[in-house]
Amino acid sequence: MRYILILFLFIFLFNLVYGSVFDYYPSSISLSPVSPPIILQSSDYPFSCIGLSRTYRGAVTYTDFEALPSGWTSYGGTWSIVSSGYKGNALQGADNNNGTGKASQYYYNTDLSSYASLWVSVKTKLVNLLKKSGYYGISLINSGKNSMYTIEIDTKGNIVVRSYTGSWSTLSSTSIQNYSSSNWYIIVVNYTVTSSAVNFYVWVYDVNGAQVASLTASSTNIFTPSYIGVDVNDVTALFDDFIISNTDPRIITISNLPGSGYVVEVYDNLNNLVSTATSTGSTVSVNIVSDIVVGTGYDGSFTIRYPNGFPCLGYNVSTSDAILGGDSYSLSYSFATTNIGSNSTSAVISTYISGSSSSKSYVLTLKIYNNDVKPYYIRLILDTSSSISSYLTLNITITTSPSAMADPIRVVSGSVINKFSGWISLSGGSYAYIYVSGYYTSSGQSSTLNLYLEYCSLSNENGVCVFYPIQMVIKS
Amino acid sequence: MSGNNLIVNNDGRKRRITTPLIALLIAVVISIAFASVFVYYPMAVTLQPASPPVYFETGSNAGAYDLGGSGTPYTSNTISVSIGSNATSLTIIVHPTYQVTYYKNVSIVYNNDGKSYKVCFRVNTPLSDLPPNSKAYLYIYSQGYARSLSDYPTPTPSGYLAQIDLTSTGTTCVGTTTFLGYNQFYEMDLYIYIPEGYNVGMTSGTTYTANLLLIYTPQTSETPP
Repeated sequence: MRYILILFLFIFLFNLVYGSVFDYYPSSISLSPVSPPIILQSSDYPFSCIGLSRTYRGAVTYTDFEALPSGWTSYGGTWSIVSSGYKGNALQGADNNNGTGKASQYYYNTDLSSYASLWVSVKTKLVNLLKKSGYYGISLINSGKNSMYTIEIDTKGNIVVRSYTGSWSTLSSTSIQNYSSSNWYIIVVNYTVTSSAVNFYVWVYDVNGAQVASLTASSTNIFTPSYIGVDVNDVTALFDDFIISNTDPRIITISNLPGSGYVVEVYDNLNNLVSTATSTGSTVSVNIVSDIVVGTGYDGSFTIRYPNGFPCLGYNVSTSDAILGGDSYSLSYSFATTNIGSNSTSAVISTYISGSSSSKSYVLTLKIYNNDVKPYYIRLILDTSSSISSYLTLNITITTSPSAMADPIRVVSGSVINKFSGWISLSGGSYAYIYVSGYYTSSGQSSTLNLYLEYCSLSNENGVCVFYPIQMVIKS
Repeated sequence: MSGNNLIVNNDGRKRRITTPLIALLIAVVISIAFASVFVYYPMAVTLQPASPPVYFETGSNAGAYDLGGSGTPYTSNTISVSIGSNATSLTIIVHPTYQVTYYKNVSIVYNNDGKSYKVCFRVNTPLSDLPPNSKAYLYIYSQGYARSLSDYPTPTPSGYLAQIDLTSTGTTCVGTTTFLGYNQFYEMDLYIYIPEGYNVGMTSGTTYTANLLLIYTPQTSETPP
């Protein structure tokens, strides 16, 4: 009996410590699928702007007078570079009556008499009078440097065309609206030499590009200007933005735009917006009369925007070049190929971008539409399976407007700096774009970017999150 | 009877009686060995119900906005997580869409006992009739673990403690050496992948249901029956 009790006790303790106790709780998980609340759509603008190339330059010569220009010379006067230019430095000339017509000239010392017609422009401002009244502006000098036409502002507030052939003769004059001697003015003249006359077409603008005077003049005392420059007559004056051109220097022409509604912006090297224009067809003219030698005469940039305001191209002019009135540029662009999945929850995109760091392409690759009523929080993720060229520098982001962009996915020279975009809230019934901007530093390159569009019903990846695959093939 | 083991028939022939005698003897012996003798030992089985040491709780995303909604005024779908009155049953209803839909931390399994428990999940009735190549998993994570999905084009999570396939029957236990300790909990995530191009009754309100059992035991080395 004792052994039996010991046996029972052993079994009891064994079960207490290692008892096979299993508890079972029922549970169920039900799926009730719904239509995708976020869907992918083709972009409204399935283009990629690839580059901008200058197709024509009308300038025969130009200078922004940041320094005394080479190839120029003076005839009378005191000429120096001062820092009080419209942008940067300026040429300051003080008359000493030792030039042609007892005025003083500073001119481009290359014979231009082969041109029967030219455009000349300069920006000028009076510094001080040396006598009771005086003139400052443009001089067109004959080959013997003993005759000239002048297109000048007189200190009484007129634009005056005169000729000097041993004596001065006024050909035409008109008043400048609201003239102020302390203002900068832009003089633009187009002269045409014919067998019977020399005709002058003259415009005066303020620094905002508003026309404040215009006139025409004609002279039968015919000579073809050989030397073109600036003139001071009984005054000290400043000169900036000088150009001699064989075409109208007041505009820059951009051609081969995808259509109407595209906006072209011109920026100087200080990143100031100089001018903007909107296309009504495939070509647009941008009026840059306010800064014909853009900025301080080098560098500068263009931005071309889609009709909805998003940049399509950023083009930087070389630091050894300038943006000048009379230039013509042609845009190159490419159509993007977009394949959306059958339920609008995946996409494959193929697009070209710039093959040079001087042009940055911007592509509105896809539209993301919120088909629900409530907002969703969306971002992009770059998967490590992507194949990225070392020549590629790229940002990928989500944007609802040009001023509302999430922090981008960043690739610099093929290296992924940031594989996540920032989050952006997409309201019900609204849309955003997947916006790619960047360039290759070499042509003929290709990268395959495997992305997810992640969206969640609550911020900070809370609620439910959905992942759509998006593949981008980006070439140069 | 004539001589040993012989009897004489009516026709005068003789036959042996050995076999019946042996059979009788065996019967007697058996009767002695299994006689109707019953021995009674006293035992007591006492049921003393205890509060569930392991129970369900709602996760951080239970009740949060789910995909879609309807009505005027609009009412958003929510991540529906219903816990039984004693926290020993669980019903989840979610509204996934095409591609990967991920529900993080919809429910938790909490251990309020002083000892560790091994937790298993058994899919009794799997999700059926989903489109080919669809995937549906219940992922078990340790508390507070940061989720991360990767692998293009169908991202999947990593770092989980267990992956329970909701499209097939089977039992999956959480952990092999480390189990759910006191005052700890597991977080339950749902991963649904529905490939594009199939009709999954999104407009007709079709529902797909899997029935599971959560099984827990302090016996960590045994497979639950």
